[in-house]
Amino acid sequence: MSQASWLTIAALFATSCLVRIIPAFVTLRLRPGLQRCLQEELPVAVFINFAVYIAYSEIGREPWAAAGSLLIVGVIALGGSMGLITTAAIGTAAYAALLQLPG
Amino acid sequence: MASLREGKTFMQQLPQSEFLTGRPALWRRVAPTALAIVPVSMLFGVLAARADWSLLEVALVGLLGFTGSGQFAALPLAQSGAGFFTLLLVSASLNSRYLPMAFASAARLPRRWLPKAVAAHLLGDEAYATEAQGDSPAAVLMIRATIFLTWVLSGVLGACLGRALPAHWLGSELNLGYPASVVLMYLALSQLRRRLALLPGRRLAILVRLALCVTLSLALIRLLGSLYFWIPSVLATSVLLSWARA
Repeated sequence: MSQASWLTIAALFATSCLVRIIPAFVTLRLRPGLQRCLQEELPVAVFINFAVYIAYSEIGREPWAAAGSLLIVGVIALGGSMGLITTAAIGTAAYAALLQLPG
Repeated sequence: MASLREGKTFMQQLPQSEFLTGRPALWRRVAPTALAIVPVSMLFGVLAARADWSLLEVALVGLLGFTGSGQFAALPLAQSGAGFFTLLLVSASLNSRYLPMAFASAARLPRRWLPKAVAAHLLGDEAYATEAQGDSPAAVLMIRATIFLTWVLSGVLGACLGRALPAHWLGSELNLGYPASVVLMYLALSQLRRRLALLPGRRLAILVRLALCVTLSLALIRLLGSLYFWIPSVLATSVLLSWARA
């Protein structure tokens, strides 16, 4: 193994310890309001930021194709009418189709 | 005790019918997500093979350094001769989003330290979005391990392909990561649909709160960039949601 790959693996493992393993062992003694925030508002905040980040990244790359495709995915996901695989297939197919449109 | 009671009540409020915890039901939940990350991990394997990484190195970076964006960012840095602390700084910045996820999901991890540490290491965006508040530690471990092993094996498979395929077959304009983005968007919105339904207040007020959060998040991405916005944005959005509830 090369030194560069060792360093990369060590740095990524250290990152995992810092951002995933150590926080799981840290016990936070919080007031009830903050405890509720950690259980309810924080996950909602994470998911809102996921959605915004994905939309921002993909629309920045292919504006029309990503916007159209993610709009379809959003309507399906919020409607709760289809499963994950079907939605992923529809979303990806829509993206590919919109990429082929002229302009 | 009050907080424990509130937590239990919240978990009981979640629609359990959508989060069955039997093994077949868990497989049905996790399999589509695991399949969706295959092309992304294979792409990493292809790129690593082109950078002359061995199959053992690709397997180890997946096993020990399991992080999609961090792995992709580390490859060119390693090729350019970056040192340990540069690599650590970049990957920690990219992966700082795991901090709130790790804190928020710590309560559903196994109690013994080794399984807990392993389960914590296996945390990923897709696993976090697939898990539910009421999942048992065993269910969480299964969800995370399935996605983790799929990631590692797909990376090694991609490295094998990277050695076999001609270089021009994979053009840089091909967005192989898009299916994974669609999956993550679906999971995030599905979780939001379920969780927002439990928030108190009228539907219009909840939508206004949501629009404010999205605007705030977008403003912070524009201001800080998509690398550094995560922690400030998640914290600011949480504060906004708590403030609106109060």
